[in-house]
Amino acid sequence: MPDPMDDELAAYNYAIFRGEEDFDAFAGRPHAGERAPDITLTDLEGNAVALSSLWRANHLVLEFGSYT
Amino acid sequence: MDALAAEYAERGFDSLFIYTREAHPGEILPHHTSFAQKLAMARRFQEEQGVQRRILVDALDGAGHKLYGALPNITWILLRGGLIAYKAAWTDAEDVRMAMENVARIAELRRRGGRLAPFWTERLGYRVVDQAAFNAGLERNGPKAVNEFEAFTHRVPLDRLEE
Repeated sequence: MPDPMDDELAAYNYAIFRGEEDFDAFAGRPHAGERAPDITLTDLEGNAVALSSLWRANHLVLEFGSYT
Repeated sequence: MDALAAEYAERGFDSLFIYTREAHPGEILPHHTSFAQKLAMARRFQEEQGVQRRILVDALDGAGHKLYGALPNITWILLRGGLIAYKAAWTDAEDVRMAMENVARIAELRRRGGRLAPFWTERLGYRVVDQAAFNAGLERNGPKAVNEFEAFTHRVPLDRLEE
């Protein structure tokens, strides 16, 4: 049986750009004034980093993007 | 954005680049099929583009990116402690600078004392489009990326490009 996770991964990591980003959904929650979601990321050395561990000391500016 | 990060580092701001899926994958810079590949692409991005900010890589399934809206080049500013101060559907350094100045102003008002009452605003931003740089980026990614963006902008069915 195919793993549905495979479809989800392929949909997120699309091979073909079709310009289907949901700009309307971005205007929804979370809003300014609300708590930011905590997420776990990986540094370039392969170590796990919780975002919440970084906002304790300073304000955070987060740019999301890719090489392409 | 790197210059902005350096300029504001002494004013209490840490700036990060969070690596997501590829927005315009091509033959040379393809879409991700494994986390190891995504990590390698992030390292390549840092080396080849000389990115100065710390780069952190999101999960392969975009778990973090999805929680923050999943658009290709967004910027969020979080206050110390994790409260959202700013979210923008596109990254524009001058717009981000204004938002950072606003955060610095809040800190200054707190220092002065008195009662502060938060309120929510909505604003339309504009950015200057460097079409030549964007096109050069698509070409760097590979011909597929050029063709797919062409199809998108002209609403050409993708299978027509293969004829």
